[in-house]
Amino acid sequence: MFSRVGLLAGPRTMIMEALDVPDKSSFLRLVRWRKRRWAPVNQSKIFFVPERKPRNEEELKELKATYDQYHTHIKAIRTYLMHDLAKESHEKQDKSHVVEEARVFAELMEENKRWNEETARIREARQAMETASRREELMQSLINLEEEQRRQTVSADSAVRTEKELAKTFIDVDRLEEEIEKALNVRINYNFAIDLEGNKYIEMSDGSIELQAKTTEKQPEATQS
Amino acid sequence: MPVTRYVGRTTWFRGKRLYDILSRLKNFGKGRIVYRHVFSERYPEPSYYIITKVDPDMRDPTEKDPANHKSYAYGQKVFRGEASGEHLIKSCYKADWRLVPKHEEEAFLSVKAEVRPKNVVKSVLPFPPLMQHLIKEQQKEQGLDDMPTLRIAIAKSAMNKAVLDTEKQQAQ
Repeated sequence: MFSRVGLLAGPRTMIMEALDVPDKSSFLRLVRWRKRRWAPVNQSKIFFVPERKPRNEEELKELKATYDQYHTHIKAIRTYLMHDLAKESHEKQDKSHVVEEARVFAELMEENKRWNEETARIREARQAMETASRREELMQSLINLEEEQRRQTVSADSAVRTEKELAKTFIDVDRLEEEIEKALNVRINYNFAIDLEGNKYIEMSDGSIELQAKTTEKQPEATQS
Repeated sequence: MPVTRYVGRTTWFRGKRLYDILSRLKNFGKGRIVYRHVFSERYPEPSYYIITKVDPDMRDPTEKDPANHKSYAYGQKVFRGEASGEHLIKSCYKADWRLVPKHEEEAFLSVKAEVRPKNVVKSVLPFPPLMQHLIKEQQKEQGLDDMPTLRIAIAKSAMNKAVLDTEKQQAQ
């Protein structure tokens, strides 16, 4: 399986030595690991069920107790050594750098404090400016509001005055019959005559004829009165 | 006549798997007593479970991937005569379970176990001789008199119930 040439490449292990062709000159030879791990069970060993070896219960009990004690002891020693080592390494630490570190840290803190103060100064100035600007804005908006309110008052006033003027021509319930009668008695002729010049002759409600000269502008609709 | 031939190694297990027993019982054996054969052989005190709840997986075992089929059984656990409440029963798969017949249950439960003495261990152990010598030398160099003590720590678990002698004194 393994050639001797191939095995020369790397370090020789115990398994490799066991796989070698036996040297007749040596008397000692390992008999374990003759089977490769990937090789199947030997045909003669397939149905071989090894018998349980008889065991001495008393001896086993004693051995278990002894091993338990041993492991507990070893664990205690290991813990002690770990603590001891930690203590020692803590004590042996070079303390000189601690002072240096503290000094550097204090310096850094001082610088940080200066930076903070400078930043605070800038921030306060900015905030004061922002406050003033905001106050100005608010004042302006108040003035604008007052102006708007005054304008609205004037506008409402004029609207009321117009409405009051108009209200004089409104038809009252008392005068309703009279007005209806009046409207029924009015005769309106929507037809009109026109001459060659384009002048209009419109008949008014009282029977008179009104001459409406031609204009270049758009003519208004037939008036009703 | 077929010849039975064994492979592998011998085993101490003598019994059936838990579900081979429980699936043949009324209500999956709720209220019945089961025990492991190896524990009954190994310890003089009784170790058993009284089944309280069973979650059976009743899927068709001929379906594909029956290895994913899992049933769970719970029981009041008594190990070496000490009751420890309801537990999920592990190692159901081991072919080592036995059922106590109903007419034997009374006799089985009437067996009273002796209370096992607590395993009291020393809290302080001696140093190994060479280590003690080295520590002494070191102490002498440093001008110290008191010898350090080697204290032990016990990993307490369900299986390890050892107590330190100092703890025992405190408990008393």
